[in-house]
Amino acid sequence: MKKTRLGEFQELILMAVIVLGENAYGNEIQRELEGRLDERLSTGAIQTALKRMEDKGLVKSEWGEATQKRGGKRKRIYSATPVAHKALHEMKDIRSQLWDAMPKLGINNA
Amino acid sequence: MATKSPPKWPFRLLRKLINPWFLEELEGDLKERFEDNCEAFGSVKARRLYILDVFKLLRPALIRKPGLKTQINLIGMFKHNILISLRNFKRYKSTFLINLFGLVTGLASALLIFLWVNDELNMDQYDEVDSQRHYQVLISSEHPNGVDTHNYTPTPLTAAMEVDLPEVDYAFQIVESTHYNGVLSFNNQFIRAAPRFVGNGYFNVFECDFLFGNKQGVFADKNNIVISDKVAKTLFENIDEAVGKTINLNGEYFNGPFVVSGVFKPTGTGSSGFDMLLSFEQFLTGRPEMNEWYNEGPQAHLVLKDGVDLSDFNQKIENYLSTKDEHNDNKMFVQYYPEMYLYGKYENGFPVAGRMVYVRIFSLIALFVLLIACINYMNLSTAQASRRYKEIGIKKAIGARRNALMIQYLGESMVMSILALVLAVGIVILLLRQFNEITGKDLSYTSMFNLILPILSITCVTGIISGVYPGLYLSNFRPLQALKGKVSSNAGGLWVRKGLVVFQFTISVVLIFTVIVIYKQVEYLNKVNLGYNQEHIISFRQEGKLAGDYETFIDELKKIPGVSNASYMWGNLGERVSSRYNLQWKDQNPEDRSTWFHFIEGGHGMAELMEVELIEGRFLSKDFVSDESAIVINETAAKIMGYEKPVGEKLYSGDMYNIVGVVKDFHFQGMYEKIKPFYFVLDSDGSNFIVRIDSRNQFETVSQIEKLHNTFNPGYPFEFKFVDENYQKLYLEEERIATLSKYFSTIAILISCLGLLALTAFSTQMRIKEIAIRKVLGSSSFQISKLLSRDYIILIVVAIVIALPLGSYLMKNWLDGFAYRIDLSPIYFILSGGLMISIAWFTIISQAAKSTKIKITECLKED
Repeated sequence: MKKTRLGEFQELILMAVIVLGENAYGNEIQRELEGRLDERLSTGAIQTALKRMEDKGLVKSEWGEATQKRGGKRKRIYSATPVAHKALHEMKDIRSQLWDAMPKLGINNA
Repeated sequence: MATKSPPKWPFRLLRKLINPWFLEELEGDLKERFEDNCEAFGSVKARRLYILDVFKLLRPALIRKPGLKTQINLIGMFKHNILISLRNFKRYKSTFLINLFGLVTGLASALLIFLWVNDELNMDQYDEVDSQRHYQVLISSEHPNGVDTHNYTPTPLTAAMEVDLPEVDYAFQIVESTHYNGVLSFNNQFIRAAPRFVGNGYFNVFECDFLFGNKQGVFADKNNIVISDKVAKTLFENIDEAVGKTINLNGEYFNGPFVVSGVFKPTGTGSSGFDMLLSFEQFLTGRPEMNEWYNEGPQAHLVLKDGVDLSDFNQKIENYLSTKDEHNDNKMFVQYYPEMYLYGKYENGFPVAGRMVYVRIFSLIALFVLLIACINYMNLSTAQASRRYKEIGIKKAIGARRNALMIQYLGESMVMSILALVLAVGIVILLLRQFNEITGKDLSYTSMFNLILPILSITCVTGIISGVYPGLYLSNFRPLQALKGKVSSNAGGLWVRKGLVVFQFTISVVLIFTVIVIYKQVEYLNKVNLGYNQEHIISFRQEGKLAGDYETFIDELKKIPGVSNASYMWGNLGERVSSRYNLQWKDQNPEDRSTWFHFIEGGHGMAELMEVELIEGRFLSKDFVSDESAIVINETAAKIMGYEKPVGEKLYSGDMYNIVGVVKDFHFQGMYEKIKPFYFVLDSDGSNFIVRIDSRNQFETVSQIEKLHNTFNPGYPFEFKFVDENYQKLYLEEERIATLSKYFSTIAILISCLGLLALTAFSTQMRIKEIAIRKVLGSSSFQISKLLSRDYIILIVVAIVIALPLGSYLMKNWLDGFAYRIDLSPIYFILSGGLMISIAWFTIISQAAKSTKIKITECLKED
């Protein structure tokens, strides 16, 4: 498989970006994930993942609005590229194939 | 509630580190998060979280990439900058030429001085095995006039120190004195040569460049001799034949055959000149009486062991001499040999900067001349900034960052200084011969190539100093204003420019003042009445057959038309004359036993020949047989002895001398020193003939003297000196300093004035409309000139006010080194100030006058 492999954290962020749609900027992504994972994340971690994925062409970004709350600084809105969608689907397929191949025994016993 | 803004410092701290492309987004995100946190947890915790978050941004993906800027097309920028520079040079030719001229002369002066300083610093720096542990012994003796420090020591000293002092690794001696000069001969070829007698170990510390022979074996026999390549070339057809040949030495103490065991080439970095090396063993054979504690002669050189503390050692040996000879209360100390050349002056028995003073003075001059040239560049570039408003405005508008503009201007000044360097090197090569003549050095431009790195760094520093301020100033324009062509003349910039002009002219005035004072002092030294007539006296050595049998020679000399008097003496006039202490007289104050008396010891008629003035009694004369034990003293001697009528009194020095006359005080030595007690005494022998000749037909007279000398003394070359030249040699350094400072200050003034010229030309041009309107309203040319020159003249006056006290302080220090010196009269201050004002005023007026001839209609046509 020569395609870009996604890290677990990157995969989560990418999905959050798609879920949030028009509103996918740094803080909103962070809030979304913090809510779902129920843990504090650092801005640095989120941003690092975003920048890496931007370099790989998985997300693209453009300037958004600036608000008073942000001290007049603009947001940066991220959106997933087709490559990213494809990569997510591939990940999902690989996962479900693997799930299917898992022996059922263990679960039944549990 | 506490304020709801996040702390500013974390970002301020990290802004430089974080990739600038992400900065806005990240700052915004974190601010927003802070606001949210404030509501959720209160401002205190929010602030803490904020700080933490900011620091967590320091991750590889988010920080600035070091190579980020180089993504700009570097080569393209470089080409563009060079192109713009060259176009600017071409468009504003006069500015370019003035800048270039300033930098070229500045750099050329700096290079010449740098070569000289480098040569001075390398004097006596050798790289032999033990050169780093090489010390020389010096002895200080106290007498009423101060402390006298000398380097001649008792011969047994080195051997004793080797035994007594564990710090001494080994020691050896050197004897070097014109006393032992002789004539070398081989097959009817003759050459005069100065010897250096050297002990074992000499070659471990002194460099000696052997062309033939080698350090180990050259003094296997005490009758061996090592000669310089120059001597070898004179004596032998081919210098490879020299080794093994037996040559003849004829001198006062050393005569006979010597076998050549080596030929050396003088190193060029040694401070003393000699033509032949002989062994110290040979010296003791010729002068066995020197091998006593009470006779001081040879220099003592020590090689100390590693890790010996110099000050401890000096403390230990201070009174060493008294342990060997109880009458000897002189103090002894050692000095690191490589330092002795530059720190070879002694005050109160301590070494102080001698030549080092001149090294410092000239380094400063070089620095200042270069600085003046840089200031010209700064002033011209900032003053003419308006020419580049549009360029800067457009560049900024399309996104040039400030540091890119800075780099452009620095690059421009760099291009300029590298261009200047190339031309300066050419000038140095052209002028080096003249420079060598003035400084008495043998510098070669090839040494520039060894110094390529320092020279390049001097050039780079010049470029940076010149370019930094204009770069800062020009790149600071606001693009909008710059494009409109209306940059409000920044008051700060104007002040800096004025300050720089004041600085430039302060240096110029100090230099003018210095030159005037040095010139006056040197002139004073040369012209002042020495108390005897030193002109038209020649001297030559009394040697060979003439050493003992001179009576007929002197008689024959006197018969030559054009010779007015002839005699002989020990030593020479204008060089050192003999001196001694431990003289006694009636009713002597016991302290005066140690007063040094100087004396000229020689033939009849010396005092008459010198034309000293007799104030009492008579001169020494052949008519009195008893005059063999008679003396003629000077006024200072009479004063010290305390006699109103000294004639008829007696002076004892072991022998008894009758005082038969008193002469007026005269300067028998240089004017560094006060006149000392002195007397004339007769002796049946001497070392130099002294002949007074008429001022006319001197060439004819001297060639007749030479003919006579050669018939009396075949085999000895006739070499004569004029006594006043000897005397001038005492002030050779001062003369050199005077000449050099004259040249360098002329250059400094020239560069400053050129800068001033360009500044006035420019400011006149800026005010051309004002001038035209004033003319329409009826201003006269003179009024306009006055208006234009006023600003700058005020600056020059300020410079003069600063410079004169500074200059007088510096020169007072310098003059204090002379016993006989001029006073700093107000005329020097007025002269240097007036000179500066008038030079500057002419410079300005020449520009201003041109502007008053403008065509009014041409100037007012526009607008």
